[in-house]
Amino acid sequence: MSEALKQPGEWVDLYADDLFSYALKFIPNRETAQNLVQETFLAALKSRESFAGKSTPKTWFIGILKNKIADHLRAKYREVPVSQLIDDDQHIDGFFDSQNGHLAQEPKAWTFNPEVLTENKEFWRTYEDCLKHLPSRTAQAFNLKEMENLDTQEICKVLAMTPTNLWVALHRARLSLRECLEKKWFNA
Amino acid sequence: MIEKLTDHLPHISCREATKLISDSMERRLSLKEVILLKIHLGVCELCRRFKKQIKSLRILMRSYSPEKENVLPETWKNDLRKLLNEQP
Ligand SMILES: [Zn+2]
Repeated sequence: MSEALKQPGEWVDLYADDLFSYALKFIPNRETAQNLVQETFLAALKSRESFAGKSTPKTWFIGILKNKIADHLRAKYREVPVSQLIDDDQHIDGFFDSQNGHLAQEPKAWTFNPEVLTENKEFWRTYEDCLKHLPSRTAQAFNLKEMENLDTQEICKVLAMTPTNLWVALHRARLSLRECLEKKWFNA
Repeated sequence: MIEKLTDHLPHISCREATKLISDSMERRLSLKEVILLKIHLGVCELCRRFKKQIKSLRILMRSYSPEKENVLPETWKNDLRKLLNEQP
């Protein structure tokens, strides 16, 4: 067994906070995130013989955690009827005028100072409200991409989507959010 | 009557153009897609504004860091430490 994993009691101090931060990106509920970290350590304990030392222990723990998160989210999203892939794609039509093919809500020029706006709590509350118009997985995909800056591969793995699904979801989110924010903030 | 040059170029709808704008933020577009999008953006102000807006959205989102309390409670850590040490 790798030297690095010999003292399970030390894992908590070395890795727990990092694993917890990672889990919180996907799971807003702190208690659930804590449970997943705990499950990760217990699973690691059982399978530490298989750790070959090819990656760092932290990367290895994160890998186990990713699977735990994916299992958790898959169970949660199983209730979503049909596939959200089809759902996202169908909703995209609704943002366009069926007569002339243009965006139904004409985009206006937005004027704002990014540094000021990003500090504005009211704006982020409006953003959260706008996010509620989207199905949770679509909203989550958007946040992981734009806020957490995770790459396509990582998001696809955890949300169990293909890249094509993800790009459709992101597009739908953008169409919806830009329309909502324009109405409720930039042009309000 | 003078025909516009753009009348002879292949064109895509706003639905397709906005998808390409969105995709261009996620992947490299093919040369054909780049050209089709350029032609569309040349004649469609709404899609140009859409592009600006979703880029603004990205800038805003990337600079936003909501305060998250990421530290685990000490008591919880203690319990977990104990649990891990007790496992056979
Ligand atoms: Zn257009």
